[in-house]
Amino acid sequence: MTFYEISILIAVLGILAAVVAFFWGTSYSTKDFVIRDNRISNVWKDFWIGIILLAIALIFPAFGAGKYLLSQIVLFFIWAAVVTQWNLIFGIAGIFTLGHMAVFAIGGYITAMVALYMGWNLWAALPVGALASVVFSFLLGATIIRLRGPYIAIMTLAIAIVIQKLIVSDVACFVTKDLICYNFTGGAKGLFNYGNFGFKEWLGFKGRIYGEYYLALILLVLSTLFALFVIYSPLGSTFRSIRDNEIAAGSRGVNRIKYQLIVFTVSGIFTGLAGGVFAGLQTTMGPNILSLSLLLFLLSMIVVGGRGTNWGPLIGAAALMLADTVLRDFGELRVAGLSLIILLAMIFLPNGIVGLISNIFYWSPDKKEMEKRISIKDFIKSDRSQYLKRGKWIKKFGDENE
Amino acid sequence: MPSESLRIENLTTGYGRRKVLKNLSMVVEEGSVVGIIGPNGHGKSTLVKALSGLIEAWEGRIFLKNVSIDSLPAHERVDKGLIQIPQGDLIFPDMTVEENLMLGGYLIFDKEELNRRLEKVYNIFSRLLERRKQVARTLSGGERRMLSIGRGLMGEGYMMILDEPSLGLAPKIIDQVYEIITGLKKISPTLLVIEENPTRLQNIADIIYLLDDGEFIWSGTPDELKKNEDMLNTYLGI
Amino acid sequence: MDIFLQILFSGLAVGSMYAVGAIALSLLWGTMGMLNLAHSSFIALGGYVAYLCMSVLGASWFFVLPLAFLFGLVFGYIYYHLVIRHIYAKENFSVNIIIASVAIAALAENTFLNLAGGEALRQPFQFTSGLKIIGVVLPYQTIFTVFTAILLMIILALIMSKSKLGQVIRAVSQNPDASRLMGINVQKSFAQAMMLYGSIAAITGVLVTGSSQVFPSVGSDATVKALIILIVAGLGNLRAGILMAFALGFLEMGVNYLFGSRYGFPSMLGFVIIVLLFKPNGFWGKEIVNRV
Repeated sequence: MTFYEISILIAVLGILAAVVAFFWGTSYSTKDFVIRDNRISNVWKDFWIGIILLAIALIFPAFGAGKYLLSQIVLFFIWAAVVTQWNLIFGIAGIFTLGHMAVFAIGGYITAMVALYMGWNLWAALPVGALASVVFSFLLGATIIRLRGPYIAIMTLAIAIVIQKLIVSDVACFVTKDLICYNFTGGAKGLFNYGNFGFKEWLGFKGRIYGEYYLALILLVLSTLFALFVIYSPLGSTFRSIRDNEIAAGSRGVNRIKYQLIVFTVSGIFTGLAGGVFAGLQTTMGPNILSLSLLLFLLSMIVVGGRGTNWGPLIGAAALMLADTVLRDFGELRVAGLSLIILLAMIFLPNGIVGLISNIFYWSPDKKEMEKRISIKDFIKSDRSQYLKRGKWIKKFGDENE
Repeated sequence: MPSESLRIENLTTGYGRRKVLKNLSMVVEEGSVVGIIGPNGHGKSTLVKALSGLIEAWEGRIFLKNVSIDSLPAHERVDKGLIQIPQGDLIFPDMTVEENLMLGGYLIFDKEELNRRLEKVYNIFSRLLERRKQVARTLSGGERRMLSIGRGLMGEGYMMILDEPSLGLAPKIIDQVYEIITGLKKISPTLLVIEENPTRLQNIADIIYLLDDGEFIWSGTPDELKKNEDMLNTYLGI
Repeated sequence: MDIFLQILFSGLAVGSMYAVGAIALSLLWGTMGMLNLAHSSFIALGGYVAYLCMSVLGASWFFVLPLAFLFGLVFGYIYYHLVIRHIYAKENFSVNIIIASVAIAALAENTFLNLAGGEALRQPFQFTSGLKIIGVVLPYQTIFTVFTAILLMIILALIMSKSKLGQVIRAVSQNPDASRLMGINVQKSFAQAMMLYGSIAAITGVLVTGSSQVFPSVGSDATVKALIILIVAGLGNLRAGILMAFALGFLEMGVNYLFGSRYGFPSMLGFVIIVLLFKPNGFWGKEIVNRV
């Protein structure tokens, strides 16, 4: 990676951050912060952020970026698509699953296996992989959905570890071709020779990377659209109410388990698709997909970007991919560096980069002014609906006064 | 001229960004019993928490015996002699009565002194002596309150804060609790009693403050309070 | 009969290790409400300390356990003050600490990899021979492990019930706010609990690696297993945790011997999942009711 390419990446990231900061398009919330409930204007902000980001992504290859950079961006698109879905479960629905990589792996593995053993074209195998992910996601969700938060994290992690162990320890011959024994799941070596998306035939050797680039971009766009759709749908507000106060939501007849299971299941669609696309682009599918370091890598994207925010996972993915490219030069210390990043982010940036941006955005030199803006007395005196129209709503309000 | 025991200057605090107490100031004289009354949700418990250090003060100062304590964490304030008997049943439910009491004397390392205090508490609360080996969660509501007060007595503090000692108890047991509090007057130099309702306080308090919406809106002796029943009606809805 | 004894012996060894792990972990759950996935780091720490002590420095075996104790103590202290304290101060601690402890586990694994290399090392603190019972060898290592595990549990139980330290840890776990009002420095007692935990975990690490070998990720399986044992028994229920540790240890070893070693862990997890489907708070767990 040349200096030139790194500077392009940093410039792109800078633009990205600037765009988000400019439009401030997140329904950001913490315990004592102001939630903005002006949904309609948020939709438009998110729309414009999306359009601008998409435009940048569409024309980016025209600037003559190198093949290595483009392939890194392809990877970024795929991881961003995965963490966007993960954030739906983790940040929006509030289910603390660590088994999302297993859903991703199932999608990739099934896609590869259908192509390998049934001789299907990889394009045709993609939906099968996605379907398998949905089924697996549903089963995983049904297994853990009744548990408490920390229990869920441990159980899903254990399930992912067990799946990885079963794959690695798979030594029985499923097919024997040319005296070489192939395991059903590929074992520790992984699956290979299941074909690819055929970009080489369509676009030639040189054009292949562009095909991959736009395929991954389409995946990310669909995944993001889907995530935004869920966030702005009634489902999204249901989750906000559950996350803010589960008992209150429950007493108003919100069935937490039902809605959480729905989101758990549907997020499997694009996670599985991402797995299939990943398998097709990498042309191998191995058990290291389920390794702890990759889990940590993707988890830190969500944490660093900002949990439960609309664009946090995307920003986090960009930041972590950049950090990873830098850390790669240090070889052995890469995992240690990632761990330090996630720890530092948890300690110093509990609301991620998006939280930091919004803090800067809301920063006001006049503390009194800030207090005035959200003081309770103000709220009581003013007409509540007017207050809402002005876009300010005080969360956590009234546990004593109401 | 009695010296100052506790002085609060312009205390402002709250939860998150929400202000609950606004510029509170008061002086408690040594040896006096001060009552604070006010409707629910207007900052009584917040005041207690700010005094004992469970929440931090945003602005303002707190002095105990003319020494500033506002920057100290809760456990060091206890060391300075500010003992709080918390609201409700903040006991250790899975420990025996005696273990609970011993924790009240956590800061005392002299074994004999500890035993002396334990004996003293058992003298006041003979019920606790009967149940000393019993796990605290099996106690009745009144016994728990006694345990809570007894645990506070173990510290032999310079000043005691009682947060709603009558909360959730039957009238008969409240009588017993207040009998004990009257007895406390002889043991602890200064008492600060928080209640929603002034009726019980009128017999023991030297001065009563009325806390409304985070501000002291009135203070006076119990006799003066009786004359101002209209005000009580307005603020407490009695 | 042979195979039955074999399963019994290895189940005992494994079960006792799980039991100590589960007890140490539940100490942390009790005090701070923390599920520590970095348990694996302490296990590896114990193993590498034993290796360092005997194979590198050439010291006597006598120093291994005290040294592991000391290292566990120190790293527990560091772990608390560098990481846990700051995350405890923020909301959502119980979930955040899981993420943070995964990061710590990866960090420690990477550090061991860079310091000692990735290959499995023979951990010298172990017994090689064994006792012959009806044609089956009962390794001295197993006997030693089981006895040490039982000893550790007894010591921990005594500390918790008799000493002032144990009393304070229990008080803080039952009611942190009330403890502060008693003049207890909650942060300090958290750090003490963490140090106690760290030393126990590091000693376990010496025992665990004695029957296998030392490598950077040596403790990760045992950690996840100990945690799911805690969950299935119901967090906070120590006796149930010990019982479940042995039961699942026997189950795992039985499946290992009868169906092949790749099915031991999955069958254990399957059992746990089935239990949790019907009892989401574990076998003997109490339902936690959040007050509004």
